[in-house]
Amino acid sequence: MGDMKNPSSNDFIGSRKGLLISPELCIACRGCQTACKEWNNLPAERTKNRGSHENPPDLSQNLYNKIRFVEVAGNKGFEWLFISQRCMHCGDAGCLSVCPAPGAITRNELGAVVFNKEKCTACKLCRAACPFDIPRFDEDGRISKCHLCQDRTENGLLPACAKGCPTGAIRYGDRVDLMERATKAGYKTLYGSTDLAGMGAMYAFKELPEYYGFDSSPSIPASVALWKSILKPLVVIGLGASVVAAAAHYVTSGPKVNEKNKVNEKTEEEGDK
Amino acid sequence: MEAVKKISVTKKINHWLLTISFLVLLFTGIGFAHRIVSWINAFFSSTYFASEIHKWGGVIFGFTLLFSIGSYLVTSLRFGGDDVRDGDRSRKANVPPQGRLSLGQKLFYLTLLVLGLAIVVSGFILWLPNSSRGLLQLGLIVHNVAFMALIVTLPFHVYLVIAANPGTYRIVTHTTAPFKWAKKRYTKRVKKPGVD
Repeated sequence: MGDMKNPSSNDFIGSRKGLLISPELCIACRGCQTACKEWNNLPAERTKNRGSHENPPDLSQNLYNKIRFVEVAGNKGFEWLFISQRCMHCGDAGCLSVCPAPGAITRNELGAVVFNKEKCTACKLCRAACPFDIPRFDEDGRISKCHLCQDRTENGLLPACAKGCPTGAIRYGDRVDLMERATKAGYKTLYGSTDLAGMGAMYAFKELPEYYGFDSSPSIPASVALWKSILKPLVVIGLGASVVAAAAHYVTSGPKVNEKNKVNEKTEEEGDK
Repeated sequence: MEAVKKISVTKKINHWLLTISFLVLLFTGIGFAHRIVSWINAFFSSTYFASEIHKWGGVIFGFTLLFSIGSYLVTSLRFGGDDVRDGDRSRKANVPPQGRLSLGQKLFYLTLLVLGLAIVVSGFILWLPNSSRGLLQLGLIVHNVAFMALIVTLPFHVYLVIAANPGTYRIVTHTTAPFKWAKKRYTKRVKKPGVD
């Protein structure tokens, strides 16, 4: 397969698969949630009634894909929107770039951002770096998130969520084909088509992203960029500088010697002469 | 040789626990921070095991830091006229008489304490299972800024103890220092051989 590490390469763009999610087609049956749990062998969670049909309340180590309920009072009156919340499989993935453990988070040949728990160090940097606050962690602190059903898609099958969706609100296929399909269908916004070098989970919106509770221009958090680009190199430079300064002081001033010893040394030197 | 006891055995053990735990944290931490040296963690069996060592090493580091408060904090917060004169670099040629800790030692201890506690607290935030993303981001910045400041400061401590001031190192290995040597350096404190 081609260059899947470089989001701007033709190999990456051409071979990349993805999801097209259409909130207006979703009926909140949560068949996708159930199918995901079923396929990934994720146990059910005990939750409390919070006065909402949205359940469970948040993504977790046992919930990779959640239907988020959004109530909007827009131009068309009250709307109840149902939106799949999950890993967006960003082309420029913050989790992937910040992860310090080789092989813990990688991109597979279909473009999905996948993980290997065995190599995860439980540092949680991936969550800090995620523009969408997606990664969650198991009891050991190791990463847990949607991997776009890596074991299914790599064998030519649909992801469980797309397979289980009865209305076509979640579709899987070639990213380019999905984008064409959404454009032809007349959707106003194709969220994720270009942001963060293109996401593997794209949303076909009839309104602006904010209407659905999305950030219109998602980006990797500045604090993570500060750590990765400035603090990490500064640590190395600062350590080197202080070691050099100490060595320079030793060379120029030498160790502190008691006055008595100094006198003795001086006497010995004079004796040698 | 007449000697003066500078620190207790308990303080000596605490100092070495602090040192060893810091070194373990340093090596495992560098292994996490830079992919290019992630092989360091192979010494600790696996990256995951290394992260466990890093967490529990942090707990030991934190406790030793807390223990040190009882030993050094009050002294380090007391600044007298001699400390002011010690800090006046124009008069550096005549080092004023010193008590238990010199001005530099007091300032170093306070720096170590503040940075060390910042690292421990932020590390604990990063360790918690359900920290929010905002808290993780804050913890990440504090952990790394404090580490950066500490790693820049520590080489001077090591240099001053081992190379610049011969004899100082003996205090953390033997708990004692030669009486004449100690009397010269800690004039106000050391009057006769025995316990400082």
